[in-house]
Amino acid sequence: MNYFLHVLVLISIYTILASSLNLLVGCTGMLSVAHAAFYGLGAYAGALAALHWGFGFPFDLAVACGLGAVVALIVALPSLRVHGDYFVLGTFALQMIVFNLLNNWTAVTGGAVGMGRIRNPSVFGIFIASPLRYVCLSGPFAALVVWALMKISQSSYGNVIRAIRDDEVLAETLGTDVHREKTIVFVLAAAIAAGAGSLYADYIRFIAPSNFTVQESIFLLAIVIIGGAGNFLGSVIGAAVLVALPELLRFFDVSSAAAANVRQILYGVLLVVVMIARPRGLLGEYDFRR
Amino acid sequence: MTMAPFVQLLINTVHSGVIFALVGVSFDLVYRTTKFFHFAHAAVFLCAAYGTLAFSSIWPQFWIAAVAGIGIGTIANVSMELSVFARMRRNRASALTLLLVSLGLYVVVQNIVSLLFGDGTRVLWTSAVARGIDLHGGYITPVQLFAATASVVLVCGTHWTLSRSKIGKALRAVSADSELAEACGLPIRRVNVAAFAISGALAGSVAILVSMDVGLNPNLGLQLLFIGVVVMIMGGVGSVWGALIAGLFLAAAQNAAVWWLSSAWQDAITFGLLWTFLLFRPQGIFGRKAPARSA
Repeated sequence: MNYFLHVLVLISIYTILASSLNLLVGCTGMLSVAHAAFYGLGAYAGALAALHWGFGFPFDLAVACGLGAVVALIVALPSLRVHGDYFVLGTFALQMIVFNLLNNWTAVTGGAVGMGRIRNPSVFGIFIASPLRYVCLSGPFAALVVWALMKISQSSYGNVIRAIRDDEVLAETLGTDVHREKTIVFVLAAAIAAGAGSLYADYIRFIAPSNFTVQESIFLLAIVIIGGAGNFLGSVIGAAVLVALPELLRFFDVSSAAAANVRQILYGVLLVVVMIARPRGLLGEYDFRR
Repeated sequence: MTMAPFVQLLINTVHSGVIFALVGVSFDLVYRTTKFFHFAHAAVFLCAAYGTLAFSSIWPQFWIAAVAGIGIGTIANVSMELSVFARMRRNRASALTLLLVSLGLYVVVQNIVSLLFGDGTRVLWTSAVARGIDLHGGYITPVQLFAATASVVLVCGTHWTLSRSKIGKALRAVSADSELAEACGLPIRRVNVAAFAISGALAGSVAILVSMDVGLNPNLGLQLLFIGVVVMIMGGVGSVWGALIAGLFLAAAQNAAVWWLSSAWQDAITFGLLWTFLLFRPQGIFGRKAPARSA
């Protein structure tokens, strides 16, 4: 039962990550391979804030989101001014640099061995340690994020960012400040991903740079694409399926090291097949054809 | 203080700079012709380096294994183009679609490599431990000297091929305007395959040269791709000399950071350079005009 709840916690965290990435990729048409970098920055920021300041869980979460937003703003400044493809190149560079930073800045992050002994959070005096209690924390968070993002995408602002996605030049001609709106979306998505990182660190209580690699970014993209770009329900289903499915590997005779590789091969193949056969995914509204 | 540290710094800069340049050129060849971020270029580095590792256990002569490795890298790149990208381009797939497929292909190849060879660092080339060759107070090992020389030869060779040979001129025409080139009767598909083949061979060569010096692990491909992307943006898309200068510039900045600060700052410096270029000179050192804002 605890194992089932554990998978549920992971699904709720990945739902937050995937739906925030979906706002960026599916609604605005900005492809980023740095989502795991923001996720990781948030995880480390939250854990370090808890370790050094200890003002409680909401404060750690705010620190994580704040750092994610600031880094996103710094990165958005140059990379959004140029050609669309350069944004992807820029986010890839950011992802590599954040990973190397977490890996090499041993004095602060603990380096490749990671950071352990992170305390479980307590909210309103309730100490949240068991998977059951954690589901009650991360589940509503995920629901809140998905609900808020859906509201944004259905609002008139959602129409603005979809216009940027479908025809950037036309949107600009009609008076949209494309650069500003893209920056806002990027910063918002990054802040949410960083928040998810803080939730993850508090739950797992051990984080290492290897949790926040390029492959993790690609995994998040795979969830968004397979669920369907531009559709938040798709991201929820995608997160549930892609997180839960590899857990089935445990029931086969695969060693845990090989299982990680097999899992990645599975979603890699899925990503290729979906992009070739059905680019709009399960429920998507956008097929990257522009 | 003697001159020796500066000589050593200069040697290190030139050595890694020309290697960086070759990495950048190999990535740029596909980017300039097909205009999409070919992420699985990282997988080509892995195919060539691990192919060489596998073959070197069969054949005693290393150079035969290296040639086989370069062949594997080239075949891997060309077969990705022929089996997936060319077909998708015919169906009018966008650059983003091609990138997403390329991401998936990279993940698959890298994990197959991890399954077959493990995640640890492997040694590709063993030689007797020597002090290195003395160059006016600085030292360089024979392997490093060979890698640097080979990189210079390959970068210059690529420049010559692009500017003088028939295939090079076709490649440049497609890079400049693929629709116009097609209208003029150039066989676009074959030119694209040629770009993937040359890029694969260069990527394979540089991956082997780097692995001979520092060994190889499944993360090598990503680290090289990162260098390639930064060098291409700094040098300007479609400029071989730009890549050479950008490579040397990046290597100088990294070596200076290691020398005066610490190796942890190396990536911060790289990021700072990239950030500055994207903000103030997005077309790169030798780029002719600013890239258009929309595709």
